[in-house]
Amino acid sequence: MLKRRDFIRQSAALGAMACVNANLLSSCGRFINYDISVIHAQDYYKATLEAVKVLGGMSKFVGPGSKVALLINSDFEHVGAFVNPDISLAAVKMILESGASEITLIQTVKDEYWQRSSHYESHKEMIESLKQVQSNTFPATFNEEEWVKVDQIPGAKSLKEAEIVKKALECDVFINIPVSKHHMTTLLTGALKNIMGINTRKSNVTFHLGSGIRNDPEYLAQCIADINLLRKTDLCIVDSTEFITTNGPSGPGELMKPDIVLAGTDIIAMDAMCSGYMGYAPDEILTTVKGSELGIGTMATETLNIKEITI
Amino acid sequence: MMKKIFLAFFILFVYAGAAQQERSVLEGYLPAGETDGFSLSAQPEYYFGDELFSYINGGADIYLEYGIDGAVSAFYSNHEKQKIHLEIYLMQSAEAAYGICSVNGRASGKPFSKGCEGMLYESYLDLWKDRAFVRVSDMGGGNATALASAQKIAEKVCASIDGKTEKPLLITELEKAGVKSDNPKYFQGLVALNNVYSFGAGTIFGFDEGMAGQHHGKMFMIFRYKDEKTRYEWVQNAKGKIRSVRKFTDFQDRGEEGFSAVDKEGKAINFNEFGKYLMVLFDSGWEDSLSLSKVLEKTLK
Repeated sequence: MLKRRDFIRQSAALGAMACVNANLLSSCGRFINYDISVIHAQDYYKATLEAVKVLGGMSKFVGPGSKVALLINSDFEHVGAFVNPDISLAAVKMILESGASEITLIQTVKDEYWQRSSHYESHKEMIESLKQVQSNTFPATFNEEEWVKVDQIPGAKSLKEAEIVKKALECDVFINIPVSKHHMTTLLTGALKNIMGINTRKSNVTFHLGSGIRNDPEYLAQCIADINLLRKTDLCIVDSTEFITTNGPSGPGELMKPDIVLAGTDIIAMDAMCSGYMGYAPDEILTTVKGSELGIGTMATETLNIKEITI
Repeated sequence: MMKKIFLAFFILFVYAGAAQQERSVLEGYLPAGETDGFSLSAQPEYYFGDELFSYINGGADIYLEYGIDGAVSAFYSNHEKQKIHLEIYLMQSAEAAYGICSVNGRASGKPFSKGCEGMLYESYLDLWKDRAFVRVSDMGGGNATALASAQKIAEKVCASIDGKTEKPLLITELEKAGVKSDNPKYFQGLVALNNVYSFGAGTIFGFDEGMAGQHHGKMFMIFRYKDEKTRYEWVQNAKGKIRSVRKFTDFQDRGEEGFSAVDKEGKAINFNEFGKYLMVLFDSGWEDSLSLSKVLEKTLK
């Protein structure tokens, strides 16, 4: 029979082991520091709130008075090609509640996009408070006021210069909200590739044609990885709820509906996970491989603390 | 120096001339006047060569891979403010027009063959004739009356296109061999192949043309090379890549007949070589694969 004194001793030992060993507790007895949260749910709004909560809440990323740049993949018309607006609205709500002084949509988001959400009416005031980089609408062209020409990207292997939205570089917090979906050239459009949204069209075309070889997937993937060196994503929320698996990135294509929302800070790992949902191996996706080589994140998701829950 | 300036002007002159010629062809395809209550609501917009990147937000690569001369985008509307979007892509060959239409194909499509060949989907039509690929979309997302009007607009466009709906030789030769697929997909490069199945990152097969279809319910592909030597070299490249990537396991080199592997979904994939062709059969045994390749070997030249 276990004596009370032994029980306490054993419990204390086990507790100490958990603190040291599990490497999960940021401060023993407080909260677990997860790298990525994966939420399975049919209510995408709630899933997004939960995904960020698991990471420690939006206030962990956005402090009072922060200027936030928000990049949402919204500018497509077919379901599965754009981020479900419920996810974007939940993110906006959390950012505002964290005390951000300014949220700028660094790629224009049209009102008709927000209207696709059942939460549109109840969030109208929030939507109206958002600033926009008006000139970053397809096909975006350079102007001195909202864009900056960057002619050196430290660490970049292929990309020599780019025309970038100023706000992406000037913000305190950069939040990236992509949809994980098919792309005929890169196979996956996810967190890394979404960053092409901070470019002018002219810059983007150089990604596709700049190597001198048409449709050079290696060069395109390298440029996508390179542009991610300019501004690290502070928080990424990925829509893997419903997406196209063919005819990407614009669709219409065949659809897959895993009902998953992810949040995290390691966009390489998140792309690696999303490529798995689509049936690809992580090393099949050149953007993930190139981004990993540049040290943007890790493809070895098994080394990360990932919390997966169903609500 | 003068020679270079002259050459630059000459190239510009030839390009402008070609673009003007393609523009006239595209203008001729646009239905004028009223069709089922719909008429042009704005000036059509034309795009040539790399300008396509300013029109298509993602996905222009596939058009460039097949080869495109120009495109036109036109909106039609009626009194009820319904909108129909007509896009015509003038590809560089009839094979390319067929290819892009086939590769964009989805399972929910119903055959449509009134003047063109193609598919009717829930809110749009994808069609091809000669070297034109035509998409007509109801911008309301599939309203029945607007979709019916979209079909009438499509018929008018098809009637104005001279030429035939002849499938690529690779497809017709397979049909002659009795290997007939519903909605086969025809491709001329990696981007289109990626829309059907990915064998891994980058170029693995380097074929000149290829197709994917169904045989007794199993997916198969044929890749055609310039000659046997080129096929041999690319197959060696493919063997090396498929042996090393995480997507495949159970790699087996089967000598001159080909090789096989199992993908991460657990599908056995067999690769058979003959002449200037490589055949890939999914989810089948090696013997089934060999017997299909023997049938094809007799037909494909």
